[in-house]
Amino acid sequence: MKKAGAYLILLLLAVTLTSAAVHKYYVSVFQVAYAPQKKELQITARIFIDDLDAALSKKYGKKLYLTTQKEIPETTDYLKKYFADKVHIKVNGIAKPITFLDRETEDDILICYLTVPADVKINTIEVNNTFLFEAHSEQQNIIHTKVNGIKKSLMLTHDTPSGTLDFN
Amino acid sequence: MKKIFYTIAVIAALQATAQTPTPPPAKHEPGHTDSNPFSQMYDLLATPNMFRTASGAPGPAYYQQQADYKMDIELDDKNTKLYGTETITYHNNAPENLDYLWVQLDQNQHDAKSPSKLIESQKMDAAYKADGFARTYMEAEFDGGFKLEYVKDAAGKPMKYTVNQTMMRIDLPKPLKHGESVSFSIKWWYNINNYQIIGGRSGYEHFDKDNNNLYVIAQFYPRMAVYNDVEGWQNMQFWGSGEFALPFGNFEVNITVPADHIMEATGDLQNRKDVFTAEQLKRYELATKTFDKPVVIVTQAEAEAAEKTFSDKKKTWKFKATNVRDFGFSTSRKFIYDAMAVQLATKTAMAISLYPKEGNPLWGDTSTKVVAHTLRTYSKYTFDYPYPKAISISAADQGMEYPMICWNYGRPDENGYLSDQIKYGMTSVIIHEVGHTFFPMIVNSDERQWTWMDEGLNTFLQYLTEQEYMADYPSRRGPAAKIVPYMSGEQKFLEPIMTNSESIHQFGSNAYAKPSTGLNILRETIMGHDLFDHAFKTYANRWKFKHPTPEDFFRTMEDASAVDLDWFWRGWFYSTNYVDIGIADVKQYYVTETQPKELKDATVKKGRFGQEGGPFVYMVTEGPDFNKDLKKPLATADVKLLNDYIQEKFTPEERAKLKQPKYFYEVTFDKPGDMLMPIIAELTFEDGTTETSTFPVQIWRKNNQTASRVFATNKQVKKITVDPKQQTADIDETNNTWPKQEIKTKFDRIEAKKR
Repeated sequence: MKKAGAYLILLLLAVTLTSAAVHKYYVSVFQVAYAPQKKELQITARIFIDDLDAALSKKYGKKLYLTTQKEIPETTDYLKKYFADKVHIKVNGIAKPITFLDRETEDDILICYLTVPADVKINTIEVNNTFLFEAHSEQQNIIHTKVNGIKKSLMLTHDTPSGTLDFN
Repeated sequence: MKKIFYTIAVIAALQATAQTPTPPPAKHEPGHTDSNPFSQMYDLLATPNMFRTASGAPGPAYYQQQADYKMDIELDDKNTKLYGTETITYHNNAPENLDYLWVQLDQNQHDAKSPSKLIESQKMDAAYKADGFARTYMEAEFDGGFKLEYVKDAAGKPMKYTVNQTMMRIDLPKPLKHGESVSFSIKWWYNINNYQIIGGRSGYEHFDKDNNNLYVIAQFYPRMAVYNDVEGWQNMQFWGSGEFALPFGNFEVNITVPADHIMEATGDLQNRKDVFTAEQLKRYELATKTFDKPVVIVTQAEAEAAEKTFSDKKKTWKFKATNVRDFGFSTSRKFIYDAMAVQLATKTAMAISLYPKEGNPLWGDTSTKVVAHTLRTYSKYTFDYPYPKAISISAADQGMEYPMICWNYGRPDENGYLSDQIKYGMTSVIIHEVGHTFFPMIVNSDERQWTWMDEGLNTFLQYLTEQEYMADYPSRRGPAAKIVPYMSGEQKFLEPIMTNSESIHQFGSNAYAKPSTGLNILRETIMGHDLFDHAFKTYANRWKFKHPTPEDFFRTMEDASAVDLDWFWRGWFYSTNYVDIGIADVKQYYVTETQPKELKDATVKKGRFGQEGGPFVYMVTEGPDFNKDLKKPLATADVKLLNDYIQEKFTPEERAKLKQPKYFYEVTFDKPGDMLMPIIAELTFEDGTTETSTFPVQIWRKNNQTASRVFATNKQVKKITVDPKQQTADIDETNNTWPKQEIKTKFDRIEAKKR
């Protein structure tokens, strides 16, 4: 996993916007559940469509019109690329590939389904997640994990873009 | 312990069952204090008093302070500076004397030396764009904050004052007694911030293409802090999250801007004929009589012409506002202006929008209509909107509220394309910010202390207003299921709603989504619309133009409904408990008159004191000695004892009316989660029909971990589901069904689709 590479994309916006009472908050939620029979981590990511659309359009220099009737055909490819760029997961210290399975729209949220292979007993999960950090300096990515009935969470921000969870 | 496989029950209540050996007594079992979630909240709520009653209403000694303002403001558009002199008249209605006054200097949050910039932890960023690097490490910081020129008393003598960050104490030469007033004047100026670069709830947006600014100006003058019976002076510093606490008062404000600007502000415009053209005046008059659609008062053509003039002349706009807690205004050459009249039950009000051409066609088509819909809907659930107007201003990246006026984001993109996300985002933010005129601008809670009191209540009404605006409106917050990802998170990132605004990890979920969802659950599932709506309306009317606390809300909701909600406030507002109710066990029973071995000594209660021996009808369930022949639906004719009784006791007509239960189930529910909820159980029968029973939350009143119910049905039950419509924010649905079924996840479905 090339960590430094991931960081380079982060900080196009070095301004601290006070989170105005905009009543708009920059939060993505990633639920990570271990499915032992399938030997995989199943990730359900919930992301605000407007934030993601703006970020993808900026990053790839073209308007995607995400989830609208005008959505361009390459959108899923860009989404896969963006996930690969922004989300890095290590199981027991070893980097694992992320597979983008599917997505659907729920009101103003894009729900993405992803998996990560996990064919060993899980001791630790390390998550580096810089999703949308370049778009909003106050972006929070909340990671909820559930492994063998144990729930643990991470709250990843600009200041702390990665964390390790121990399930022993 | 030996399991009892047989149980009895008969037509009357069950009394005795088999004997089990008693375990040896525990050596020392410690006692415990009361931890019942239904206990009344004497331990958490402030003791009622003459200021605030136990019913949740203002008490006989309730008082509040008043602050009146007269201000002359001037905008220097070229240099983006704002100048002002203000005279504050402060009325002390408290029974006690005041030795000093606290005035809020919110602009000081933008002071280069503001400590609020020092409380965030920092880490080195790995990469910067050149301008970001220069701004962070090389350039001088923005010179924000109030520059105070003087503080003088009514006779023009300087007064002693002390500035502590965002608060200023003014020492009074003699104590201000109950019923007395004091007047003093402050002269100030400050550099207006470009809020898109520096941040902030107010400031200006710059348009590079035509070199104009669009100002949204608020927290722009030194404002009196609240003094009351709960906090004394609310002089907690403004760190950035906890917004404002402000007393009510009357405002007379004269604002001087370039002559080609168009403006709106809190309050009634006193000199419309000086600032509008004759044609615009006529259009405005038409708007005051037009209830079905907005009338354009300043046209796009007029706004586009004004964008280019950069007049050196000035104009002064004069506003008067009665009984408001704050004052805001917005001004620009770029403004298009439209308005319509709104009919409420007892009065009318104006809905108004100001927006630059970049906002069209979205803003012209939508904004004022949404304002009107919001005023009508909120008025229905609270009180008729008491102010003369409500204004929605188009401001990039904003969503912020002041009395009668608010800033809202959402414009088509530079190619003119408008996505649904922007359209709904803009509609929602207008509903939300106009809604804030009710909470907290009128029902004036303390935002510095409790963000949820205005954001939670307002987000709740926002949800109702969205759903009434359009069927299946894509609301972000409201339905119970949407709060599950938040409430199922790890506890260390969760705080109770009753937590100060500055200390919350997930602000949007904690202070907006969770309280609004809680109110929605009360309305839909626990209280019902009638009781809830009456209680909510009672709260709004009791506390309009007053300063309520959380206790006043909690108490009123019970007082006006006769629904005991202490368990709900405890769990949902004062703790991070979550809902998880499941089915622990289901046993099917069969009816026989053959006595099972274990039930030799069965008796049934007779009257208050008596016991009765058999013969009995026995209810048996499958176990080691179970007679397989019994495993069939009840046919009354097969059970002679029962059959004889029915034949003898009832006439044929009465017999025809008797229920014909054939299947008997005992269902045990448990609750791995500690947040209580009613048990909603849906039985699905073999023919696919369903029947739902709701057991009130009081089924958990003994602090019990499990609760059982018996169902007698005439069709076989194939499936039992707890909370089938996801009304209770149950965080784990894997235990919600019997027989236990693997809940098909989205991942299973995706896999199946691919195969």
